[in-house]
Amino acid sequence: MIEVLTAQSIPVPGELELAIPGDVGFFKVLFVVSFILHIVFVNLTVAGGILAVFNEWRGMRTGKEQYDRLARELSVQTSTHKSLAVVLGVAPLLIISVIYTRFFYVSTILVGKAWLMLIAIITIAFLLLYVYKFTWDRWMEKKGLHLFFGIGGTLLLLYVPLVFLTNISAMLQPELWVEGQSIFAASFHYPTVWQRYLHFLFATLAIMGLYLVLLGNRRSRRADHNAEDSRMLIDFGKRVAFLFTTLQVVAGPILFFSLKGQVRQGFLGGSALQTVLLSVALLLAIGLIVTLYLYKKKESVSLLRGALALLILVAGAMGWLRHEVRDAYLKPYQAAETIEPAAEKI
Amino acid sequence: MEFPSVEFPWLGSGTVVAIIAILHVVVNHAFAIGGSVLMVALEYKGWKRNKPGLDQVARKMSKWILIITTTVGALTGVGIWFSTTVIQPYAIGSLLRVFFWAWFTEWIVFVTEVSLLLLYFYTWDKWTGRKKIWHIRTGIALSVASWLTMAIITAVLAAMLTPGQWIETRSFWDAVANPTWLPSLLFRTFVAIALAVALFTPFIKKFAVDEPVKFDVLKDFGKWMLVSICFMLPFGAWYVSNLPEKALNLVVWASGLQGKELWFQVINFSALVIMLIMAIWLISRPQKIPFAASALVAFASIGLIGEFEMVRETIRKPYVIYDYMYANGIRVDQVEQFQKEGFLPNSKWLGVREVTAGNMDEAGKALFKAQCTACHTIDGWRSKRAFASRIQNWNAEQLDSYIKNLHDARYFMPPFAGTDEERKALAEYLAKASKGSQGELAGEGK
Repeated sequence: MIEVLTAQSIPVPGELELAIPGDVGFFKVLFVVSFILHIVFVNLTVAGGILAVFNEWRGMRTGKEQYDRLARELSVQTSTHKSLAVVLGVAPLLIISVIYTRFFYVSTILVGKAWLMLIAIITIAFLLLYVYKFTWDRWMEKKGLHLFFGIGGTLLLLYVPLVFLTNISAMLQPELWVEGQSIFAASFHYPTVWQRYLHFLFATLAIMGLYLVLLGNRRSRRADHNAEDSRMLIDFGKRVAFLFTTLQVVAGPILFFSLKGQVRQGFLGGSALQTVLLSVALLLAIGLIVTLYLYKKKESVSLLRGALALLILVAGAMGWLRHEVRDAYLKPYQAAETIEPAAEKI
Repeated sequence: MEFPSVEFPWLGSGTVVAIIAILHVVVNHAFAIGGSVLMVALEYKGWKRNKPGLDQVARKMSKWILIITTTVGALTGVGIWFSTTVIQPYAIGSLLRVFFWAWFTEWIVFVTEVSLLLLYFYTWDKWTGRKKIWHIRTGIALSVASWLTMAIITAVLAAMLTPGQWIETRSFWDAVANPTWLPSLLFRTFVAIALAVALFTPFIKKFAVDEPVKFDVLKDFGKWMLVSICFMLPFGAWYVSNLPEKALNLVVWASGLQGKELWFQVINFSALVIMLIMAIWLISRPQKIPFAASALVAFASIGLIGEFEMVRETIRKPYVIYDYMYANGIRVDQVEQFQKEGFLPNSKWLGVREVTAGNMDEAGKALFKAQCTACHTIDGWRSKRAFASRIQNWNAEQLDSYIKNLHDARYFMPPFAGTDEERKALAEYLAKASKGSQGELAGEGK
């Protein structure tokens, strides 16, 4: 009887009639891998926007043209990354829709209007950033207006993850589902949204930092390179990478302790796999911070390679971790397939 | 039913999807597919005949193709998916499962397409001289990849209208190789080129500076258009001949010209004639085409493709996936169950689990929300689908007996899926709501 009441009060949908067309375990692997690919380009896009406007502003304030050239470089990079970020998102969206239909569809519909508005918001953000990129020379005398377009596009981009994070946080907690919330109300209603946001934001900047170091190194090997500019890419990149990777020491635990107790327990000894995974991820992350610190002190190719390898491993481990978190949240709902209301009569 | 829903009281749910989808079709057909073909053809000709002017036009086109397809094009593409998840979760959820591997392949093709587009755009200056041929080849690969994205997604779209053998076999390949896939794909291929010509012509007219180059380009565009029309017609006819008979009978009605069959013929025939004139004009006297005429043809073409998509969507009624699922997300095989057990007890998100004497309004409203709002509104801009203008003079008894036989009287309507009590509750609610809102509207008017 209690079970029936639970099923009624928490309206988790039943499965669709058509079966999931393949092995769910295999789909989960595809999901984690394709999501990491997608999110890396999202990171590069968002951070590119932030750092471009930051450097343009620095250039305007100090009058140093070098900052302006760096900002311009970033705006071109962002423009490329954003196109790939969108198309790379197709696979993870496809897989999450298919293997988590019962949860993901509900949470998507609950934030439905904000979800639909994303189409317009991302389109406008991208168009603003194209204006930003393509008017760099033409609007040299209208720096304020130019910067305005960059800031506008970047702010819109910064709003987008909030909707995604609210959606994927909501899908994990059917016990909290309510209809008719605004996106901001929902972002506070589900307990992990802003903590995830902070973690995402730092990761975004950290990854971009390392990307800039790599870009600077590649540039410096080209015949037509401007030594001063590639030096700046490296110097700026390594500072950003170190700073924001280190800040994850704060953002990571904030997110971890916002997780539901039961779920958190799994990573603190409750589940051997989850505990080992978290420990390995933390060790890798610390390794990355140390490597970045050493690289900052004294540049060397091997340290840079090490940092890149560690970053890839950390991204992989974190991508897997967040998947474990998801399945831990959903376990009670998936184990006890909710009872169809019609079955009550039997 | 299983999922919550979002209401769009004035616009109507269907319209939300339609706006995004039509925008996508226009951009995708004209810029990504047709536009790429025109662009690479110009670049190739410019290179082969040593006409740098043509190369410049192709380059300019590539910039706009990049900007438009990676913003409006890409986002409305994802947008169709986003909006159907919110508005038609049962349909898109089912389609994703049927076409999972097609969709997954689409992901790879998308990434390839965008990578090629970026490569193409950023190598204009780098790949010159002996490397030029590689730039052209990249462009050709880009055109093929763009076309492939359409080839894959058209399978899904076609299967919604003609699922063919899939209904019985549930096999992926039957769903892909459905009766209208190939004809509609070939039809769309040439529509895309014609549409690209129609949309790019006014811009070439306005912004190409060098006159001989301009006329050269327009002449080529005319040839592309003429060829496209020649292929569009037989493939279009093949497409139409594979439509279900019931769907075919709805075409004129779906176009909004019911009872004016002559007008329907006249409009379609004129559109064809105008396209032909445009093509021949472009070929014979490119210098004589006024900008206004080309702009008019551009707008008319957008209207025509929009109308085509609306008609295609409408003739599928009462289904969203033919013979499998109705437009309101109820599967054909669920109707009997809901009529026997009741719809409300089987619905998780409506807040009402049964009809009682005291909750008729509430129950009726819940049923309206679940079974009608996929297409209908109480008040709304589409008067044919707004109850305030359709049924304001009907009383509850009339509505009740009408809804009972709805699917027989009007075969494009799905059957009501619920018990007699539930149907009564719906009828009561509709009778009240259609008058209530009309009253309010009249009151506001005073």
